[in-house]
Amino acid sequence: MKLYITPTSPYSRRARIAVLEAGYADQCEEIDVGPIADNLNMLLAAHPSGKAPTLVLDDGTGLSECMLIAHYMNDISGGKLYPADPAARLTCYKLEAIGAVLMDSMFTRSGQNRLDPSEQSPTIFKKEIIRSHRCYEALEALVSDLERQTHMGALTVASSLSYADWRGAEDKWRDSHPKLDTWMKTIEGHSSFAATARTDD
Amino acid sequence: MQQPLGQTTKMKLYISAGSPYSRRARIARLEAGLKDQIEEVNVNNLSDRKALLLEMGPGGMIPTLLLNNGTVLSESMVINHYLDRISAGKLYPTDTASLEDRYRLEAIGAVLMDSLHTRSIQSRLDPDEQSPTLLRKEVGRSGRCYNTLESMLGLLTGQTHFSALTVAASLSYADWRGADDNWRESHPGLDAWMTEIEPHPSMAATARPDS
Repeated sequence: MKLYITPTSPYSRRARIAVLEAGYADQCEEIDVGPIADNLNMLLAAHPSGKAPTLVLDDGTGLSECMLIAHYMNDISGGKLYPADPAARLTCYKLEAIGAVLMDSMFTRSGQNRLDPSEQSPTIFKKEIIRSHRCYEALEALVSDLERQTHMGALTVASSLSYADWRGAEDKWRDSHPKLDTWMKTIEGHSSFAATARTDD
Repeated sequence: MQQPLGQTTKMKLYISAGSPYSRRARIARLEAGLKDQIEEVNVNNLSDRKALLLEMGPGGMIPTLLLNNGTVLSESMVINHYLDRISAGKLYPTDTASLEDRYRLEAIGAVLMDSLHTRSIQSRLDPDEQSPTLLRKEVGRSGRCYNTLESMLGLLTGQTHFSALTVAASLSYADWRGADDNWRESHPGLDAWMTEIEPHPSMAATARPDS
C-alpha cells in the first residue's frame, strides 16, 4: 500500500498515525505529494478528491477520508486503533468527533487566510474562530477522558491541537486551557505522534 | 454497545430535513434497524435549536446523536460507525475485500457531499464575501466525483447497502445544490442506478420534502 500525504496536513497526520498504530509501517510506503498543485495528476490518478491523505491499495485504487482510512486500518489490524470495550469505544468516538470538528474549523480558517483578501469571508472566519474556541473548552472539560489514552480518538484530538498551535497560534489555547496543555505534553511523546510531527516543530 | 434491558428512554437524533449529512445518519438509523430505539428530532421545528445544539456539543452542527446516558456524538461518519456497532454490524461487512469497496464508495460520496456543501455555503454568502477561486476548485472536484462514480457502476449496480446509500444521498444533494452540474445528463449509468435506488425504503423515507 501507499499513503499519499503532505507533511503539514493534519488530515494526513491522522492517516499516518493510523498506519503506524495498526503496525503497517512496513507494508505501507508514505509518499509526500506536496505541494499538491505540483502532483495533482498523480493524486487524481488514484482518487477524484485530489486531496491528501489518499491510501492507495495494492490494486491501485484509492481510499480517501482520514476517518475511513482509520477504520480500514483498524479493521485489517484486528482492532488496534479503537477500543473493543463498548463504553471505551463510545468515549473514543465522542473524542474523535470533537477533534474532527476542531480540525475542520481550523482548516477552514487556514483556507480563508490563504485566499486573496478580496475573496475572504469575514462571516465564515468569525463563525469558525468561535467554533474552535468552543472545541478547546469542550476538550478541557473532557481531559479525564483523554488521560492515558492513545486510541484514535485521543490521537485525533492531539493532531487537531497541534494543528491549532500552528494555524490558530493566535488562539493561544494552551494558555487558557492548562489541563489540556498538560495532557498534550504527555501525548506528544507517544511514538506515532512524535514520528508524525511537523518538521518545523 | 447494547442498551440495558428495559431501557425506555429513546436515543435522539437531531437532524434537519435538507441536510445531506443528517440524511446519512438518518439512513444509518433505518438500515441499522434502530428506528424504534432512536427518535428523530427535526431541529427546524425547535425555537431554541441553536442553544440546544451548542449545549450538546462544541460543533453546534447536525446531525447530533444524544444517547440515553447523556453522551453526545457528532459527525455523521462517527455516528454511522457507532450505529453499526450497536446493531452488531448491520451497516458494514466484515470481510476485508468487501469493506475496501464499501469504504471506497463511501469516501467518494463523502468528498462529493463536502464539495457540494462548500459550494452551497459559498453561494449563500454575501457576494462581497464569495470566493471564485474556492468555487471553481469545488466545481471541478464535484465533476470528478461524478465521473469516478460512473466508472464504479460495477460496484453500485444492484446494491442497496449502506455505503451505496450514502453515495445516493450525495447525488440527491447534487440534484438540489449542484443543479447546474446536470450530472444525470452526462452520467447516464449513474442516473439509471440512482433512479433504481431512490425508492429504497430508507432513501424514500429521508427524501427532502421539496424533492
